[in-house]
Amino acid sequence: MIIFLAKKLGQMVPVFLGITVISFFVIHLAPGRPSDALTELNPKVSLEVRERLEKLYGLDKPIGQQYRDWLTRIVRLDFGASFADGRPVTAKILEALPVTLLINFASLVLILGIGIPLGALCAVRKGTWIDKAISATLFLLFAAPTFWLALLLMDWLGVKLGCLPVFGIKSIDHEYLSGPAKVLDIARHLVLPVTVSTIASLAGISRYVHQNMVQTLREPFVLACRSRGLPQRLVIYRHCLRNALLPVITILGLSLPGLISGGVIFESIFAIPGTGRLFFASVMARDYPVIMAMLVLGAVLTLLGNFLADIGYALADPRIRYPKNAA
Amino acid sequence: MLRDFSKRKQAQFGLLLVGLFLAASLIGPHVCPWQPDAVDEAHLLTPPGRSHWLGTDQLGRDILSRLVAGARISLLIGFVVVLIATAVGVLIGATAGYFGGGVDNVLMRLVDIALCFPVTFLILAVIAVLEPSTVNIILILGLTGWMGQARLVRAEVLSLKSREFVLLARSYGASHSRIILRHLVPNAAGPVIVAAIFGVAAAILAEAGLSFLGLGIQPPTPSWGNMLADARSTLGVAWWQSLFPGAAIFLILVALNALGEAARASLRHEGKNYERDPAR
Repeated sequence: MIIFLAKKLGQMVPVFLGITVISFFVIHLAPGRPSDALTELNPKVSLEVRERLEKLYGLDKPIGQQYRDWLTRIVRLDFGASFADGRPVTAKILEALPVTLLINFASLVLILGIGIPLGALCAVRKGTWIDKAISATLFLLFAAPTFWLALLLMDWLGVKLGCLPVFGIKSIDHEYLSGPAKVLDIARHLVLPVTVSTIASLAGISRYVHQNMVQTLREPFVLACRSRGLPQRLVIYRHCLRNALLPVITILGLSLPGLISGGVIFESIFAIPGTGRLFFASVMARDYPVIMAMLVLGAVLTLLGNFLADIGYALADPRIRYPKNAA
Repeated sequence: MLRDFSKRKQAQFGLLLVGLFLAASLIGPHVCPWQPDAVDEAHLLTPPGRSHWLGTDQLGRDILSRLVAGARISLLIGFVVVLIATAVGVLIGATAGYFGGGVDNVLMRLVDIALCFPVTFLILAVIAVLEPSTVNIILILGLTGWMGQARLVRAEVLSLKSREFVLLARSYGASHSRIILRHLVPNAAGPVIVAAIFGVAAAILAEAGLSFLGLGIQPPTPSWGNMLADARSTLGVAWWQSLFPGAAIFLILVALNALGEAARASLRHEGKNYERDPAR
């Protein structure tokens, strides 16, 4: 197991370096100078001021040197200051993180809670009308653009029926509410975003479970279980589902970067002050330090997610921990 | 494979819908009585009716005409993006798989790295740097979408390159590039086509999303995404403005996904025949 981990970690180092190189140089592809974003709206900026700014951000050094400086800073999690308001990038990201985490966590629970049973149900009742109805619905949901669903739901539930708030995560009078009312207020604001982000990934996961389950049901051990006279329920839920759920570990790992990349589009629709909207705002403002930081963090989280998925897989399935040829 | 494919209901349905969209985008602009960007102050936010079948937006522009004009751009972007992504992916994947060793290692690490970035982040970051123009959007989407194809082609080439026909080709002196392009890539075409169909769907969705954020196709050029963005300001007033452009995206995605599923099923079907009948 330790060798397995060390090997995986070793493979991650060059990938991490590659991530930083790409994140850095994508931004430096920009025509003109990065200081343009700070100065182009202000015609009074003299060359002198511009040079002082560039010195402040280290932009007057050769690009290789800039990359090395930046790299040594980011491994210490120092991403510099935002161009927009001069505050530390780390602080801005940490501020936006809780909302996105909350929404992602809530929808992840819903996705797993609904998606897995649906997928398993379709597999067990393969070919019946239940399977066909669920599969067709999921197929349609899979194709529906989330920002369209969001607009339709906002139009219908939010504006026409007026029963749910449409924007933000707090009402204007939030500060004056009592404790439980505050929680309720936020919860009401989260209903639409969580619903939409659940729908977005529900179809994917339940089809995944469906396919795995169908495959598992064909395996010889299922026949063995049945021939031993185990009741159908035990065979399906204890023996098959467990095996079919193994690949879900991968999905959990892959959903880790979603915590920061969030839904750029849907956070900006619902005006949720999370990380997705922070990134969007930074792109609009060409706030390069924030963009670079979030690119790196997003990619590193993907890397970490893959790594955790590998570990989870190895823990759950001894066949991966001890490869046949290595023994 | 084609025969099996054309018999599938999903394929027929998908082809029909995609055909309708293609026809609408080609013929539509010449048939519609309204110009897609003609502002009509007397008919702002007209509900769907006899003169404007799908209503008008807040500037009095006919929604159906704009949808039809948007279809042309969406389909164009979808196909060109996939063409670029597939070309790059096939080239990199085939090179890595064929030569193996160090080349393979370097190229596949590159794929790993590129796959680490959340796609929306990468695309938006590049757009922050460049200007959002149609050409840039196509290039960005194409150059961020090739990794899946590269992995697929590499895996196919790895399993194909030790087969007899490759040895034969080499024995009569075919060059590496000839073996890759004439012998290996055509044999890997099945999975590549399946992935490309889903790729068109993904590219159309990505373009719509970008345009919705205001970072894709720039107004006044109509696109389904920026029409939905316009609809945000008339929520609760003009349902037709958000319903129809989104429905257009939805339908084309349903059609393409159906085509992709059918193609994948045919491919699997063919694979089974192949296993059963090794003489083929």
